[in-house]
Amino acid sequence: MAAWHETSGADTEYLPTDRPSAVSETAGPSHGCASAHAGNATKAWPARSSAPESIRSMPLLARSSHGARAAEETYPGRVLDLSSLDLEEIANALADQTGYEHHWLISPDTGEIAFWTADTGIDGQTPVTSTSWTWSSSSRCRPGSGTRTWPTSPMG
Amino acid sequence: MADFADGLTDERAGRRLARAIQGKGAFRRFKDELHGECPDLVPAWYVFRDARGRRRAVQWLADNSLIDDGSADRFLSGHPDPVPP
Repeated sequence: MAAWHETSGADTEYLPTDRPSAVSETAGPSHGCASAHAGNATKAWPARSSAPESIRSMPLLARSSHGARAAEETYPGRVLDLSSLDLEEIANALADQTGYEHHWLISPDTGEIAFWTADTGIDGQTPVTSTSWTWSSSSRCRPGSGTRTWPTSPMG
Repeated sequence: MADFADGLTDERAGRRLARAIQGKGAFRRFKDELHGECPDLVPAWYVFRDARGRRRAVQWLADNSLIDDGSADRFLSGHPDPVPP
């Protein structure tokens, strides 16, 4: 399970990067996140029993040293097998970060890539508003602290 | 695209491609110029682009601690930055 960085105090920071976080957790009680829009990543992600359990994807926007530091705190001791990853797909996703309405997300559990849109989230069924969504990351998250405002400009 | 153009030993082609990527519409103009005026460089461009993309992906994965640094270093050292023809 992903252990997301959390700062103390009232505000919870789950994936601190220099880019405003576009963490993909979509609102809703549960969903197996199929990445049907993500090229050949058509396998469904494992369904969760409840949304607050974990966040299983992170935005491909997170790529700065700030992001790296956060990720070290985020995934201690958990890494993906490089040989199992589709580097072409990840490269294409990294090259396609031009829009505000969509983002490519990667699952830190499997390395799968998913396409996220403001309208449909990542499963095509769970709408996410363009202004906010509610999500929680880990058991350390206090109830109600997982609401995050969608940045005005995801590209910073 | 800029690195590819800059690295070409064919200076004339390099200049053409470098001009093509100035201003808006750089991707389209680069592609048009490459395919229209330098078709012999098309395969090299795709090799260059794909290799760069894979290196970038690995670097990104390492920067975000999604893969271990050792694996990333091995990949990057085994897949050096491509050199344009």
